[in-house]
Amino acid sequence: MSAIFWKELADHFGSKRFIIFFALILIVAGGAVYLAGTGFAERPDATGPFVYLQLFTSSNGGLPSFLTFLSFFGPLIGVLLGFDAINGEFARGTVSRVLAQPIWRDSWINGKFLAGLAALGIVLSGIILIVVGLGIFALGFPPSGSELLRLLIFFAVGTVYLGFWLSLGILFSIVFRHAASSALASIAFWLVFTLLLFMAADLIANQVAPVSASSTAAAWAKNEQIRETVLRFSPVALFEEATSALLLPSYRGLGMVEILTRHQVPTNPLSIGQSMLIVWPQLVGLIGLTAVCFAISYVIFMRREIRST
Amino acid sequence: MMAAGLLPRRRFLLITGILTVALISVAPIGFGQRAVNIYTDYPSVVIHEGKELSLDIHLTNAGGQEEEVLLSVEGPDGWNARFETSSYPMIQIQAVSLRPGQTGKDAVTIRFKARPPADSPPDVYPFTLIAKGKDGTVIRKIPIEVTLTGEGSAEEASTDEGLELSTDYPSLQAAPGDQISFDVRIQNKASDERVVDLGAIAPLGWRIAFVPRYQSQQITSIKIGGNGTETIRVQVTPPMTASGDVPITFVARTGSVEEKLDLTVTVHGEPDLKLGTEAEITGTGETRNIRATEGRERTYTFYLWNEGTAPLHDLHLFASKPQDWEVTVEPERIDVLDPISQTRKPEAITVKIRPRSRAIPGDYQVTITAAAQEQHDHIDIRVSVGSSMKWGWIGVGIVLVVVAGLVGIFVRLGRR
Repeated sequence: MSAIFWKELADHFGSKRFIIFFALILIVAGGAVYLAGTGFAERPDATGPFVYLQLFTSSNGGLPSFLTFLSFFGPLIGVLLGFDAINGEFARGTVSRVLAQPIWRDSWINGKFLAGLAALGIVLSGIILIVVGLGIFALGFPPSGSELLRLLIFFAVGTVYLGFWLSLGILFSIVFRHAASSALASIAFWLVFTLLLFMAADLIANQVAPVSASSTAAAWAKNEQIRETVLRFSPVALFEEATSALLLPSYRGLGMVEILTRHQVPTNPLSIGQSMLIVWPQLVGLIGLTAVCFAISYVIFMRREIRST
Repeated sequence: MMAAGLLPRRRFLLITGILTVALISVAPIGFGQRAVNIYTDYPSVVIHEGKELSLDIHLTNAGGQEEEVLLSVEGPDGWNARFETSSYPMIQIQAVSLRPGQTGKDAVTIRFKARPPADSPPDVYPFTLIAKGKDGTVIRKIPIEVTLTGEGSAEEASTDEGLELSTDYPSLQAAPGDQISFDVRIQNKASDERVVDLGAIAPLGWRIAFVPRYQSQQITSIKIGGNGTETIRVQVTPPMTASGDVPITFVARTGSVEEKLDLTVTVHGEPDLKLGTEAEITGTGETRNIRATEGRERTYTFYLWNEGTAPLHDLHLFASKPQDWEVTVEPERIDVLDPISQTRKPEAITVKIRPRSRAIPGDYQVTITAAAQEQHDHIDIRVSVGSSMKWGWIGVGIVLVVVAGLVGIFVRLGRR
């Protein structure tokens, strides 16, 4: 399995599209972080105690924050690594040659998935480390222990999130014979989860529990609840909720009650354990989605009849 | 007499003269056709020692002829008894010419004056005023009794002749540099018109001007009629350094008479608190824009002084600073801050500023407020916190290592 792992990893790092995507993310993310940093210098008083976390979450001057950027474009790089993992081998006619080697069939798909996950992990950790390094250079002091811990968990959550999209790509690469169909299906899913579901959530909530300016608080709360429920089908929304709690220590959740009482509750930062408690459901959801996705592709692949034509 | 204009003058006079001789042979003294009279309203007067007697004498001519009356006085020696005209300018006279018909309102008024010798004892001194005709005949003798009393004090003695100064508000309050005005009445107690010179005695630096009421030109003297009163305005401008109750003496002088009026200006000084940086005071040194490094203490000096004219009391200094910064001000309290015109040098205040460790590089504002009982002011210091280079290099190192690692992965794995 390790041979396949290293071979796949080498393939990823050697492919031009991966390098281009990596460079794109690095540049845009670096720009977002740089703008956030200059925002600090303009108003140094306004920043809270978790400066390094704010580097990732605050946006300044048009560019979205690093976090928004990752949740929106991260899926693309995940899908990119997976969408032609299996059907590409079929198309090139290399499947039978590979499976003729003395390796288990599950090692092959496991190796492919782990290699993709490792590539994503390396990219994500590299970007986070570069941002932190630039932060140290600009700010002149290192991140505190709790900041580092939060960043570490953020890295883990981010890897799981990207891993979901990777497994989705692999699933489609198994389901569809052609790489183009698989890519289109992946893009369609990406659009549904990042854009359409957010619109649909509003639509469904307003249909099920219509609200107007004169509605009662209970009606608003119900509307909001339905909207959230719909949204939570999307891994994008789950990821945003989870990372918000991690990177914004004063974050207390998305609920209607929280929004209404935001001004009454003092916003002292929560301890990392409390933040983890808040994001735990989202985190489990993400891991579960990834696992389910991969399990389906695993089962389909293992049961598939492979001919050497 | 009113019909005189219709008749030839000579005939009329003749008829009148005859009628006068024939019918009114009770004419007191003199000649029938003549009717010169000389009299005074007050034949017995009292004067104080050292005062001059001044008595109005009236002369009338009810006759039809122009008359010339020679005047002379009999009385004690050394009194300098004389006659003067009653209107300005005073001229000593010896004779009066009277036109016919000068009676009633047209009567000529002259003034009899006499000054008792300095050593004359209180007594009754008789004078006799003698009016003679041109031919030497005595028309009339007027006895006048002058009673000299020694009771009159020197002050009373001077008021008769002199000036009286008065004002309704002898004490005024002013701020330094602000003009205030005293209205001073000058009464000329003498019966003659006089020119009064005006002056004032004030400390150095005070500006004083005299203006007539309701006019703006500055005057140095004023003409006041006999027994008249004029009000002038004394404009006083205290200098910026003045404080407290300052006496000012207004002086009016005419001839040998000098009168003084004490005025008081209470100058209420205003304190004026000023803060300035070293660069603003000495031209070199630190401005309001300083640099600091996170976690490291630095000292900053600024100056504080009182540019006003009154002292400031109970001055407290405190700093408002960004969160978690340490800013101490030394000294924290100044009991009394005297004006700089007295202290001659500003007070140096030392501020110790320590930005918190982990301060984000950028510009922070530290405001130091000086609050006295009377006034308060503040100075804003912009503190530019720079990042410490030690960690900067470490950051660069991390970035370089990561980039090198990624490149290494790309190169190593990409070649396989």
